[in-house]
Amino acid sequence: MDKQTATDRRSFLKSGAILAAPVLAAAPVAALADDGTRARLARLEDERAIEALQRGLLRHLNGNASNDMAAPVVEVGELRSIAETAAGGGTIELAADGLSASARTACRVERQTEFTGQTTIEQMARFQGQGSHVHAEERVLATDFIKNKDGWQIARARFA
Amino acid sequence: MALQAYPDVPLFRYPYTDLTEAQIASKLAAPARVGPASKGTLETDLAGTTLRIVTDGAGTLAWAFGSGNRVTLNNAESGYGALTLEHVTLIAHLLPGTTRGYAIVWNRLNNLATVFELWFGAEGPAPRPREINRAVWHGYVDTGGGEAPVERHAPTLRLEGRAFAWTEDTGKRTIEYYPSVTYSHWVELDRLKDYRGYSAPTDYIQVTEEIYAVARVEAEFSGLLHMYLTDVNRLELAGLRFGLNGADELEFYMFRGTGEWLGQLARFEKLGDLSAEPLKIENAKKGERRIYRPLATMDKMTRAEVDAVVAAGTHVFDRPSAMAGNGTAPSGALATKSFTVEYDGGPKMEYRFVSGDLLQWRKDGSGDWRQARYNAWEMMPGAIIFGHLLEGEVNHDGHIVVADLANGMATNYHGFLNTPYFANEAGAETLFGKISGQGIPDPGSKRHERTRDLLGRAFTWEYSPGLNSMHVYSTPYTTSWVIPTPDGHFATEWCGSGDFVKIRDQLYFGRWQEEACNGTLGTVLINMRTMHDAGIGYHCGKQGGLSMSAVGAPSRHAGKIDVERFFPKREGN
Repeated sequence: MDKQTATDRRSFLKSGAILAAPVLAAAPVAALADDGTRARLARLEDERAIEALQRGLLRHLNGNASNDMAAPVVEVGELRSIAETAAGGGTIELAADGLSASARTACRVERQTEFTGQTTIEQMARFQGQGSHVHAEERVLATDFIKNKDGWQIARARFA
Repeated sequence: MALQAYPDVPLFRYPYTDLTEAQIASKLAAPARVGPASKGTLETDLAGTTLRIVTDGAGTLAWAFGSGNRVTLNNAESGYGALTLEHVTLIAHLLPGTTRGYAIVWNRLNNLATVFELWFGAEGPAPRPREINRAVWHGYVDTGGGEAPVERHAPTLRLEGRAFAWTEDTGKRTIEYYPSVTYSHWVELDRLKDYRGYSAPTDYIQVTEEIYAVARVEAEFSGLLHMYLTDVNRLELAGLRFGLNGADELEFYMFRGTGEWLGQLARFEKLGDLSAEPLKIENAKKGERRIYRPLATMDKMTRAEVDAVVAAGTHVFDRPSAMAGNGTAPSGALATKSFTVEYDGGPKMEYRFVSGDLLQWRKDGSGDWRQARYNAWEMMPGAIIFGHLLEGEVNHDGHIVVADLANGMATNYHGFLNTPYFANEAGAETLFGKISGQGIPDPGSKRHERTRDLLGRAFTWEYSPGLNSMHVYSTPYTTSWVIPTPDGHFATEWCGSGDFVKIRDQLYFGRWQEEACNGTLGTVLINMRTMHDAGIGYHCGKQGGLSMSAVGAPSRHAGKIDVERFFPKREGN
């Protein structure tokens, strides 16, 4: 298993702080030849690429995917909408080899349930004009990324 | 079946006559001329008065009261009755030569009025002529001077949750629960003999801080109207009973009554929300409202149809259950256990639990072992509810069992199909038994027992997001369920036969039968310590076939109505 390290993505983006040392320690030799600036830049580029994918994923889940967004492997069920919560608190974990990463993003998820069943309670709900129900959940979206010759891609997304 | 004014079978089993409008008109003719009957004296102080009521929606109606009990409306003279509670008068009369009548609620202090227009047939929304239609018109009495008031009587939720025991001057006693804003639930203590409760659409109109107009139409049953003014502070009634009973006899009388306050269930609207028309129909036809008619919508299958859907495949805990979205996970506590349950007067069931969801059973010690899928939930340590179908049984039986392994006792809500009414409607019997097996104590002759601990209580159940209900255990033999709107108004209500068994302190096994209503046997093992239940539904329908499915929800205790003294003890209950 790859050794991973975590950073608070929001605080990272806000402060521009560098990633944790173990990651740097595993950076390519070429990067270590200088004062670490190249490694930090590489990590920043990784972060930005992963962030962009994550934003694309949310657009995809909201039904607004751009044409160049390949359908990722998502296991989140039927959603009405999904949005990062204001509190956020998301994290990105980059593998030491720089070829995989995972992100955890706090989200507010809306699901719509259609009461189409034949149970008495569903029949009575429909009778009252309550044929469907929208409810919101606070969930953590866990996304796995891999990096190949084409760059970063989403390997899997699910709710933790 | 001979006609009975008040049947000795459950009302949902009674074949009420499909009277024609002409037959009803014939029954109304003489009483229209005479006016309503009454055990006590009706009032006559309206002589010489003309009551011009300006309504919102039905124009202005003018009643001219003559001597005695004569009243003229639209040039038609009839007999009326009037009764006053404090300063609010209820007036009732019929229109001769028609199937129409009126009940007027008049606040003499502020001249606000509400007119209940009542009629049989004639383009009303009721599906049968014998079911009375009502339209409620609020307005004021035009006294000829000053500006028209802007205030009106109005629908209210102020009575929601309350319960009273009313005794009419006829001697008839009725327990009335108001667990809903649009329905009520009543228990006839004298007219009927079996102490069941029934549910019906009901208007609740606030007249003053103390006085309300309550009007229920016994839709789906006799179709008659039972309405009254109630002074909930003085616990007094003045009412009107109007309609056709089970013997097709016209009941048209006014009454006074007195009552007892029995308690109050919690309301669940947001604090400050006093709105009271949660199911209002926009652009409704006159008198139209939402009346739940479960018999019309339920599947009605023959034995052959039931056999066919069962042969096509049963569904035992094999798909998500809307009734258990918030349920707890099944337990594997029975896996690898073996025991036998001997039911008193019932079968002897031998069990081998192969895994957490597969068992083998054998009945009465003979025949082959049969395999069945089951689910189980351990609701208190050693107290487990499980259920399975008995494949091969002629009535497609299901056993829903609470096995109290710590005490060696079991109770079984034995469900079966092929009832005399609808083949797919679940019948049920309650079986008490003892468990024998390794490490299980012998209870001797001790068994679980029926309980009244739940009587009068109400629990909310949050089954799945957006699917909630409240149970009201209104009699020792009745489970009622009420469906809330998203904003917490409890509204549509229905009910069926119930049974209630105490398993342990704060652990109760209850059931309901959706008779003439979807046909389900529902069971719940209620843990009042964790305030959660686990249960099993047994159902057969055209779409889903024969199924067993999970029931489970967190609960709130909505209150307890003090009704036990009204129900005589019977053997075993």
